[in-house]
Amino acid sequence: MINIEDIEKIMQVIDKFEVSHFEFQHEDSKIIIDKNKICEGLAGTNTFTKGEIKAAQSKIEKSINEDVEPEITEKEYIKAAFAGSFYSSKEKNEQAFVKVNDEVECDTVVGLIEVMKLFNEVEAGVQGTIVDILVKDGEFVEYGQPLFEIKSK
Amino acid sequence: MFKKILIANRGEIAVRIIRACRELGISTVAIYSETDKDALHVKISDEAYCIGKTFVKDSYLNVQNILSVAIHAKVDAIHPGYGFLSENTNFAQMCEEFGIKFIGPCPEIISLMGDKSNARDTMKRAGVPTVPGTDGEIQNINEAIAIAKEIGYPVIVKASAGGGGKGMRVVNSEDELISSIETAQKEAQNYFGNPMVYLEKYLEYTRHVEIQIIGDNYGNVVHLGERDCSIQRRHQKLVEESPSPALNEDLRNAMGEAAVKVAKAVKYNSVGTVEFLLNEDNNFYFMEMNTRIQVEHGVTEMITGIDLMKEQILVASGEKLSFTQEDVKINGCALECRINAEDPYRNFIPCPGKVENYLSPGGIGLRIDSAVYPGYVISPFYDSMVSKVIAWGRDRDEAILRMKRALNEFVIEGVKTTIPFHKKLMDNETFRKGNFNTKFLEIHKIC
Repeated sequence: MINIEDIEKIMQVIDKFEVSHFEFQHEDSKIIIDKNKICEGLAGTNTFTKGEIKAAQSKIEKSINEDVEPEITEKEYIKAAFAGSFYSSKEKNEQAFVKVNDEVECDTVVGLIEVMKLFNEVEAGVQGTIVDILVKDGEFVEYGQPLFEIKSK
Repeated sequence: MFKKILIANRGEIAVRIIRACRELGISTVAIYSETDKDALHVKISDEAYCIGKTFVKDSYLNVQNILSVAIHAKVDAIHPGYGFLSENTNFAQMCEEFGIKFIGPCPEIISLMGDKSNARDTMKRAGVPTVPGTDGEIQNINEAIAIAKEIGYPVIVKASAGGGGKGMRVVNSEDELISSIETAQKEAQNYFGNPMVYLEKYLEYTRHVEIQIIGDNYGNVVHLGERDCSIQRRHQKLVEESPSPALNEDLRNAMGEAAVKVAKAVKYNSVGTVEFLLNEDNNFYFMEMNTRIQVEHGVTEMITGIDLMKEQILVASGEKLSFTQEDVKINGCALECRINAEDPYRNFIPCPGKVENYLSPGGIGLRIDSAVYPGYVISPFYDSMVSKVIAWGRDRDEAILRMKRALNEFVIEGVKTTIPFHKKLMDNETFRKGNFNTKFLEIHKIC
């Protein structure tokens, strides 16, 4: 029989690995866990303490006064979905698919990854602007390796 | 000789392969899923590449990404370990096509032995005793009824493409036969994509005794004695030992020679294990052949002093076997306990989690194979193995004594393990006497 401690432990491990759907069966017990990640930026369900609001206010005032740009907290990347050789253009000596500051849509092809003679298109996956190109033409990339830094809209 | 090998596996067997490569001066390439980025095999290899997400189908079975890395890293060979792609004919063939040596037998042999019904036929033709049953797959129901009558109930219906205890049905009488065949066929179709089944006499009170063999490309085949793997829970081995308490010298020679005959008949040229069922009258019957290195290979290494992993790699690189049958001497007795991250007091429920403290036992006559270290997180996505503890003694009693010492010294905190189960098993009277068969854990409640 699965008990609450088991479920807690499973949830801890799932959180660590960022799994969104998990099914587990043992003898006659079954657990199905479905996590829908709430998008960041939906302020509706958030509550703040007075102290937190005050702290945020003073930070904004400070930044206006000092003319300092607020920190970008997280960098966004387009990552490799295969392990293979990355190519930045369709053919050798042709123009690259994208360059820094280009605007891209979700389905814009930004590169190719060759896996055993088969070429797979790398799509931007998000609407935004190319900030940086992190790999060279012909470089071997691992699964999950960041290829481009992108700033999404 | 190979200069570089890619290990297409994870966990303790990946570590084992890397260790052998170290001793042979071969450079190693590890592959890992995102979840395994802190795994031990990744830390100790010379190069490592992430090849996919967590789930096995996306990573350790991701043939495209694995071969892509292999080609990029310019490896000479791929060692598939056990499980995963180790008996995948398609993968073995693709390695060949890309000029990479697959460390195992050639695809044709994997295919032959992987089809259980074909394997049986090959054994029969080689004159190796097989469990009485149908000649090949069942083609029509009347044939099945007639044969079942001839061999006598109970019989078992088995899937040709099967394994892991799936696609099997025990039939106790003729009225159950037709529906059992239909159910087994359906299950076989669902699990293996192939509905073909065959019939065998169901042998209930048997020991699982397997013979370790190794062959090279020059027709040399040697056997290294047996392992008794009868202590099983739901067809999963928990304890293995060599020599088997049930074998005498004559029986060992007979089974060893039968296994070698099998291997020579198919020109077997790697490590392999021929599994037999041994009944109470000491008759042995071929069950199946595993065309890979096995989890419990260390037990044989302890009593023969032969490094099976190194030999497998050497043979794959074209070398002749470094020893003959006469050179193989069985010395003493070895026992292996598989320590899993499971709670034996709650039906062996898996207990993944962070290993806070890990201190393995030591001293004379012990070998510990593991990929766990303090702070390592055992994830729920792969097998629950923590460690293999192998104890050697001059005789079985000393091996058991040493195993008890080892289990008492072993510290693993943060996850529940099956150590308490093994400790109790070592004190069990029937186990200590060596009088058990594959039904042992069904009959005796240890925890």
